[in-house]
Amino acid sequence: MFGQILVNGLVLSGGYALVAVGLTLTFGVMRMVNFAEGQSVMIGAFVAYTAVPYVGYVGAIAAAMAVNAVLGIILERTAFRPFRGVELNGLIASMGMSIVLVNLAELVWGTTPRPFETIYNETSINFGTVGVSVQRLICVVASAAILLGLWWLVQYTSLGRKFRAVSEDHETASAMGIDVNQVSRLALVIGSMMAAAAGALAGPVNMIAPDMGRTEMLNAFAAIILGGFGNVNGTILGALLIGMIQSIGAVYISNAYSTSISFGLLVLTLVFFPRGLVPERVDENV
Amino acid sequence: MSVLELSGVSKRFGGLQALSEISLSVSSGEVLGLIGPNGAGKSTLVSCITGVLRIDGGAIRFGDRDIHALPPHQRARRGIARTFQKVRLADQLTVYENVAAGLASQWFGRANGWMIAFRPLSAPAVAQAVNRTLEQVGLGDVSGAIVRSLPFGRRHFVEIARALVSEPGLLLLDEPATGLTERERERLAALVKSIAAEGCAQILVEHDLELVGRLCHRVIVINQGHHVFTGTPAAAQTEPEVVRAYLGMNQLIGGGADDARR
Amino acid sequence: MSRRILLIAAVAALAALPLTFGAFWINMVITALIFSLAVFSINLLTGLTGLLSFGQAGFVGIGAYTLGVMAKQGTPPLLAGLYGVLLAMLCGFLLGLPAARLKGHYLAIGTLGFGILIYQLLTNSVDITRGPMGLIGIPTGGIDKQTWYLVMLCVCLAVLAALAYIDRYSSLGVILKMVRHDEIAAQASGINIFAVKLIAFTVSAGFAGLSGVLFAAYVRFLTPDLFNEQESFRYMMMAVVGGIGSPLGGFAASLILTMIPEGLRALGEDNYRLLVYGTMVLFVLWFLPSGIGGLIERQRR
Repeated sequence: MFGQILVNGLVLSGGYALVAVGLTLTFGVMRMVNFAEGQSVMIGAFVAYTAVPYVGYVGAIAAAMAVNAVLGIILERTAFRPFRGVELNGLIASMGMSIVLVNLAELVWGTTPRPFETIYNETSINFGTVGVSVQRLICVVASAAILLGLWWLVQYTSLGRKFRAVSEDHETASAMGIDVNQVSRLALVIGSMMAAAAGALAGPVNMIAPDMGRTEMLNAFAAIILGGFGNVNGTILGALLIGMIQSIGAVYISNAYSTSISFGLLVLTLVFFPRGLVPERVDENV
Repeated sequence: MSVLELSGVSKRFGGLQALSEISLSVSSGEVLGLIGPNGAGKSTLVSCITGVLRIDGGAIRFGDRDIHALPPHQRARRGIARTFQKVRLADQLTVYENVAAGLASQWFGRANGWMIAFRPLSAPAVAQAVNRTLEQVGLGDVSGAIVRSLPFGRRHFVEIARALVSEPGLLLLDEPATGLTERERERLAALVKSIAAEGCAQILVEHDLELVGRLCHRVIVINQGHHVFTGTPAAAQTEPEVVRAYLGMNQLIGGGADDARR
Repeated sequence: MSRRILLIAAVAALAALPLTFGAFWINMVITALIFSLAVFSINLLTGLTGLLSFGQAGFVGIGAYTLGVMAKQGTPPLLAGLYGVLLAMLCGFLLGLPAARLKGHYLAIGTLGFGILIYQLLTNSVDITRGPMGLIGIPTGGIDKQTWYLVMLCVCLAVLAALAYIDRYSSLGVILKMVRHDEIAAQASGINIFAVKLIAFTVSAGFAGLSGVLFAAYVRFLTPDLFNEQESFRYMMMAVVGGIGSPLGGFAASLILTMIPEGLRALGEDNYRLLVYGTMVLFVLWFLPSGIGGLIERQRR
């Protein structure tokens, strides 16, 4: 039981983390929340689903990430760059994009949920008394690997430095010669690619449907509140927490209320920590 | 009669002691200059007086009331008004509207404040107060202008009007002369004098030391959060501690006239 | 003077509209008018006071279900409606207590979370609300569409007038704008920003609750899905398309964004309808950043 909860929690956390980190990266760089991120997950899942018969599972994941990279560029151009400075409009634009994407997907693939079959779903590995499907294992391991890669990117590469510079201060960064547009585009591309991975990895665990993006997003939001907007490390921890709590809650309280639990937690956190658990730097001087 | 009295006020930010044991007092009709090099803690002190920052030690009395626990809006309602170093106006509203907002202190001082707020902006009670203040400040001709369209210097005066309209007992002016033309500077000087003549106490934070010398009855000099000197501007010029505080910075008293002519 | 005459003529024309439209369109317009009340709640909260809320549908739902449940239990509909609005306002107050201390994106997501919690509550309290099975047969029938139309028109125009007065002419409007624009300066002018925000949340929730009450009374059938976060987004989109600070624009946007996609039902596919919806939103944002309200303002000058 404990092992099962742990694994379920990790699977959930991995998925949420991939989405949440993409969101937090985008937010840090663009100061706007990407409401279309959930749909990036969905598109990633469906592209992978469509591609598996042709290029196998691993190839499908790569294909999904490639398609989403293009999606990221489109999103940046249409839903974010035009609205820099008018952030509310940017939020709404990404919402509009989200609607467009969901309905395009429904046109192509229909509205009924369908199972995403991979060979890995069939086999299980046994850890003592706990049986874990290989698919879930892949989920967890791959998520961890991607997150590790991203963490390394943000901490140690020059691109990562640029991300951090733009997150802190747009104007100073561009005064230092950083092409803010390019950094923004890259943030969205990376975020979308990670969402694709999340979709392609977690898709087989449950069924996929064009409206699956919604719940992904909500939980990712909860993770970001806990971990801090723009804070990659905190977000990963937040996602871990949310995933675990949902997993525990699904067993001990009720499955139906699992979203309530994460959002209840979120609202409670905000009551006591209006600036989130990990406060951003205050840049208001009087 | 003392309007504001600070005794031994201290403020720290984490490991940094921003203010140490600052004491001062201002009386009605007096203009107290608050000067010191950059980073001395002047803005911090102003924020402590207005309530944006909570003090860590010492006492603040306004009139006969200990106000250290009052939030900023309550201190404003009791009669502490201020302007800001970086002008904080609603750019897209008119001068009239911005100044009218300053009346909130008066409206909410009473229980039926909300009722008064529902009245139109053009109501006599509002219009009289606003127009009177605009005339006093010299903005009568731009009452209907959108703030965004005004030159930067005039916006300082809009802020002063907003602070004045509620007839405060203490007015804090935070570097009001920044970016003013020569004529505007003179208008500011005359305005400060007329405000003092009406009995309002003022604290003037300024780098323009020529102005300080002319307008202030007394000055208090602080440096790195410490009190350096309190006395007349003339005495401050010769006080060795003061000179030392300003040494190395291009703002030696008397040489400040160059800065002023901008 | 000529502007007054134009206004009266426009109102008269609007009032006479039902005589010319068929049943389908009247239904559309009435629904759009009901939704516009929710949009007005956003105009007040976000446009005027600067507070984001992605959970307004929760308050609409509270109003709707209060009317539905109580009316079915025998409470006179008017009374039940009043309770609905009051309960929504109470919840708005409760949300405001923590929310008034939140800024920016924390506020957005905090209110989103609150809205979702309400939705989950409505869905899972099957004993009271019948959850996804739906609440059917709310006893508020017997009023014909023409009357509904006129009632809604009057209510909307009244709210529009009130908001316009607050925004343009009243001292209260200036206070709200100061809170939106610069909290520190507002405090320095004696404004208790916490109290102002709390009241804004409460009153705004009241408007949203009213929208819910009228919706339940008109449509007479409720499911929780009508009040999920997608609906909150929809209200937000209408508000932004209309121009966030412009209730008149919000009114127009509600009409347009309800009627045009519905009219496209003729195309058959649900998805095309929503595709058009989403694309319309994007187009307005790209080319009319101040929304329809901005367009109206420009004509005015």
